[in-house]
Amino acid sequence: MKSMTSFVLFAVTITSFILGIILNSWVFLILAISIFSILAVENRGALQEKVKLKVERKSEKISIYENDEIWIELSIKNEGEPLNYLEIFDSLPAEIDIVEGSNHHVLRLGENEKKTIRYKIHCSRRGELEIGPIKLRYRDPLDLHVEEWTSYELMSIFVLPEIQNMRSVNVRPLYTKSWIGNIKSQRIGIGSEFFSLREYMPEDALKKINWKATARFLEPMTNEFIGEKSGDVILIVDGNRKNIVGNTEKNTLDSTIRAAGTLASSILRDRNRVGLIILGDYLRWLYPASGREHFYKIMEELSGVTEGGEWELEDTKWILRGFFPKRSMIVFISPLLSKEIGKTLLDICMEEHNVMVISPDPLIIEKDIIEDHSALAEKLSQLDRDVILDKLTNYSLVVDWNPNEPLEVSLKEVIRYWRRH
Amino acid sequence: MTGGLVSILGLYLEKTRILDIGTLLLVSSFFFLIRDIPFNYLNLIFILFMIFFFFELWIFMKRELFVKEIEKDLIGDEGIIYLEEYKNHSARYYVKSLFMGLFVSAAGGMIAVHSFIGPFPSGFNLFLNVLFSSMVLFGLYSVMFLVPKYFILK
Repeated sequence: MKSMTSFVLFAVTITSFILGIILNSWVFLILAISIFSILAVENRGALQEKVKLKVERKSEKISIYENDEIWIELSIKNEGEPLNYLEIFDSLPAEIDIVEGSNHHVLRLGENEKKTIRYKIHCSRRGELEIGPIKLRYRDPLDLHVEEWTSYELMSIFVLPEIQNMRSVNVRPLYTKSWIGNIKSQRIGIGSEFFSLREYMPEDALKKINWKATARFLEPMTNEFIGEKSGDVILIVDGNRKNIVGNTEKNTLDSTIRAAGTLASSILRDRNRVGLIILGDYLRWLYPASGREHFYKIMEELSGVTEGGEWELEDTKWILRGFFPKRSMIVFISPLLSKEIGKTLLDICMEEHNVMVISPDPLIIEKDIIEDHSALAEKLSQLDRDVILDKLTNYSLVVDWNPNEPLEVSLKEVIRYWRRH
Repeated sequence: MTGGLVSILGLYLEKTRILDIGTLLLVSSFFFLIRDIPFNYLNLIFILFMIFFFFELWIFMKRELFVKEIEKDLIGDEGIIYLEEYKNHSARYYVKSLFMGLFVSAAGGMIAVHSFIGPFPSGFNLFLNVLFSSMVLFGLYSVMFLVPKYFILK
């Protein structure tokens, strides 16, 4: 295909030719001849046959955490005539930054030659990001012949919310279920901590026999252990539009989602089951389950919450009542900007759930963004928030979290206080 | 002069369109100024030299912009090898193209000089001259490109 430059040069040729005749000037005629000769000679730069290119994109993994970096590898194989000036551009969404290498190259590819280009990307926003399509352009150096085509080789990358590693604090449900976990229950069962002695029963394993006690009582005695069980934790993520404070770079929704991811990781590591309800653009939920696969399901759901919706905590009551197991621990993560939350949480408590509220402080986020803020307005907002938090403390565990600090710090403080009292 | 400044501005701002307009202004003003130059061998060589000089200047400035565009995206040293390869190959390609173009247009110009020595007396003679030169050029073009391409495709 002829390029725009080629058409311009052709127009210059015609104009020079006409000017030459009008002005009776041989100079313009020579100019016309010269440009025409360049156009004719440059015809050798045009592609002779159909381009046969095989383009493949690979990456080391398809899901990464926010602010992580991965290498993307593009391999291009030319199965047709040699291509001397092939420009390749891999389209990237705005959320992705290139750290190393480039997604834009100019290559020379001989017949059956394969070249690989690599670049490292940094993903700063969570969500499902689509890389591609790959735009290819053949352009001769004089820019007179251009061929463009697109390879719809797409790749989706899940950018999961950033999670913090909580090692020193565990969020454990008050009520345990029958399956084995890490929480010491009030019952005898499978575990590692000694509880009592009892008479030997024929089905008891030999390793359970307490030989010292057997020698003392002159009859076989067996050790009994405290049963270590696990429970169900349901994370409710408040993505209501009215409760989002901040801008695209820093907002309460991001903090809420990061907290949910951190808690899911920690609770699942503790062998409990985790369920999820997201009050986002639409109401999504995941039934409690455990394991690594379930963790990734939770993270994928969380990474998909990009903007808030209209759903309220009130709307989760029927889901909790109808689909989720009773006597679960409910962890509600919200900046608590709505005053009606208290009543709903009380209703949830009445249905034999124990409730924890984690609230990323919206005032801190707002203060980080807005430089000139009124001290009086800040004080009033703080008072409002304190009233809500105080009210909630009566029937739930409340964690007032500074999003600029690790969640572990605030949680540790609250859980230590709660265990003491 | 203004055209040259506009071209430099285009190069500085990295805008191909400004560069194109500047070059077009420069070339057209130059040729308009020397439109009444007498028609002889020496002047023909001078004009051909100037045409190809301007063309080469324009092409190299455009190449510079393209290389800058690619370089801007390159972070780290990956891909520098490919760019260097492109720079070397394209420079050779330009020189080859320009010499071939110069040869073909010189041939056309010579024919024009031989057909009529001195300034063109009238529009009709001039037209015949150009027609003749164009036919020669088309013949050259056909022998050099159309015929080989036809056989390649066969």
